Amino acid sequence: MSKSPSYPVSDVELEREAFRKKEGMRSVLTSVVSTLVFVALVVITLKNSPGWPRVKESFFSPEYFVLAWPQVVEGLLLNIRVLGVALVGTAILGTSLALVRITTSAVMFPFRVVARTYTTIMRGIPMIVVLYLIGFGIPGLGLFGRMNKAVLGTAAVIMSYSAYIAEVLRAGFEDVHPSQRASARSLGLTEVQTMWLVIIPQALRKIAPALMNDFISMQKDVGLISTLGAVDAVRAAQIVVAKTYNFTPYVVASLLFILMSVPFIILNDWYQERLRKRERTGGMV
Amino acid sequence: MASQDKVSMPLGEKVLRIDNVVKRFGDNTVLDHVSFDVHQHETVALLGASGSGKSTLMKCVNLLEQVNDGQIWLGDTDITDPRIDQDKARSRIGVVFQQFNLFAHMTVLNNVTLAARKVHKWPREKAEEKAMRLLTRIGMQDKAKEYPDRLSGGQQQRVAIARALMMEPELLLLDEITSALDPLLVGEVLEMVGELKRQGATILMATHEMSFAHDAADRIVLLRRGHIAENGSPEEVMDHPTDPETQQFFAAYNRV
Ligand SMILES: Nc1ncnc2c1ncn2[C@@H]1O[C@H](COP(=O)(O)OP(=O)(O)OP(=O)(O)O)[C@@H](O)[C@H]1O
Ligand SMILES: [Mg+2]
Repeated sequence: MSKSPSYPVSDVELEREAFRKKEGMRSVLTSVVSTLVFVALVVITLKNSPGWPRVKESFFSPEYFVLAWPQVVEGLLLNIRVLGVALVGTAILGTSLALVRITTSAVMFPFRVVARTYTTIMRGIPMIVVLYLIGFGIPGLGLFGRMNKAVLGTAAVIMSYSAYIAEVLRAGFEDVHPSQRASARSLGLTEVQTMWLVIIPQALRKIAPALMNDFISMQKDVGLISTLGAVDAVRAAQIVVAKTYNFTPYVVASLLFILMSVPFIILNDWYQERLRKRERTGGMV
Repeated sequence: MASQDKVSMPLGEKVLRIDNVVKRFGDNTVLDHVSFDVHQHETVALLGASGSGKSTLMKCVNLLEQVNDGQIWLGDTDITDPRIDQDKARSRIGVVFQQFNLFAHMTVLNNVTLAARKVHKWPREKAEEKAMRLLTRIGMQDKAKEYPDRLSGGQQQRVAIARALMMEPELLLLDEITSALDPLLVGEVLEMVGELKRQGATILMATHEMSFAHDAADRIVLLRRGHIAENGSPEEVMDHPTDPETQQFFAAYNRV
C-alpha cells in the first residue's frame, strides 16, 4: 500500500535492485524502439500503397470532418440518452430475471421456466435481428399508433442485454457461499435485508468486470438503433455521407464512440487491477 | 435407547427444548423423533458420525430448515409455530458455522454491528461502542477496521463468535466451528468457547474435537442414524460407555 519504511538493506539486495532497475530500463527502451519501428512500417506501407491518396481524401478529409462534426455530435446525444435509459432498464429487467432464476420455491416454477426460456432465446438471437423484430414487428401490430424509433430501439437493446446481464448476475448470486446467507438470516435479517445487504453487494463485486464489459459493448451497440431510422450518430453520419459521397463522417462517428467508451474502459481496467491486487494479498477462509 | 432417560444434575431453567423432532429430506429421515433439552448456563456437545444429522438439527433450531414433525421451544416460545415472527426468533439465537461466517465486503466492526443496526435499530455509535468492547475482550480491537480476508482463520472465527454474542443471545449454536481451521489455530477458538462457558453462556455445539467436548461440555448428546444414542455426562458417555456401538464410535476417534 504505502511506501515501506527503509529497513537496513544488505549489499546483495542492493545489487539485485540495481540489476532490476537496469533490466527495467532496457525493457522500456526495447518497447519504445519496437513501437517506433512498427508505426514507421505501417505509415510507409500506407503511403506507398497506390490507393492511399484516394483513401485519405475520402476517409480522412479535414473539411468533411469539420462539416460532419456538429451533426454527428448531435446524433450522439441521442445515443447517450438511449444508453442511459437502456442501462436503467437493463439493470431492472436483468436483475428481476436473475432473481426469478435463483428462487427455489415451487410457486415460482412457471416463472423460472419463463425466465430461463427468455434468457436462452435472447442470448441466441443476434442483436440486429432483435432490433428488426421489435423495431418493425411491434409497430406492425398497429396497437400503439406511430411509435418513436428510438424508443423501440431502446426496448430492443434492453431486451437483448438484460438476458446477458441476468446470466452474469445469476452466476454472481450463486457464487456467494450459502453460509453467508445462513449467517445473515441467523442474525435476524429478513430475506430482503439479506439479499440487499449481504448477497447483492458481494455478487456485484465478483461480477463487476463482466458487467463492465457488457456495458462497454452495449455502449457501441446503441449505434445499431440507426438501422431502424432513428437519427443517432451513425445515422447522422450516414446522411452526410449520402449527400457528400465522402466517408469521413463515419470516422467522426467512430471517434466519438471511442471517446465515449474510453473512460469506462479505463475504469474497468483500474477496477480489475485493484481486484487482482486484493486477491494477491488476502486468502479466504 | 440405552441412556435416553438418564437423570442429569440440577440445572437452571430450560433454554431449549427439542421435543420429538422429525426431519426428512425426501425419503431420507435424518432426525427421527429426537428429544433433548439444553438448560441455562449449560454446554451441550452434539456428537455423531458425519452425516448423522448434527448440522440438520442445528438448522432446525435456527429455523433455517423446517421440521417435519415435533416442536422446538426456545424459552416459552414454540419456534416451530408458523404464526410466530421467525426473524425475531432467529435473532434470539447466536450462530457460528464452520466457515464463511463473516461478510467479506464488510469490515470486522460492521460485521459485528450489523444485526444491532439493521435488526434492532440501534444508533451506530451505541452499536460500535458495544462491538468495540466485545472485540477488546478478545484482543481484536486493532482489527476492527480490517476486512475479514486479512485475518487468520482463527481470528475470523473469533470475530464470528463475537458477532453472535453481540445481541446477548439466549442460546449459542456452534456448528463445527474449528473443523475448517489449521490445527494450530483450533486452540485459540476453543479457548474462547471455554471462556464463554465459564461466563455462563448457554451453548449447543456440534464438534469432532472429542477431547474438547469431553473437557468443556456438561453433557454429551450422541446422534446415531437419526436417534439419540446417548445423552449424559462426558464421564458416562465417553469414559464408560456401556453400549457397544458407542464404544466403537469413541474407539475410532481414539485411534486417530
Ligand atoms: N439440504 C439437504 N437436502 C437433502 N439432504 C440433506 C440436506 N442437508 C443435509 N442432508 C442430508 O442429511 C444428512 C445429515 O446431514 P448433516 O449435515 O446434518 O450431517 P452432520 O452430522 O452435520 O455431518 P458432518 O459431521 O459431516 O457435518 C446427510 O445424509 C445429508 O446428506
Ligand atoms: Mg455438519
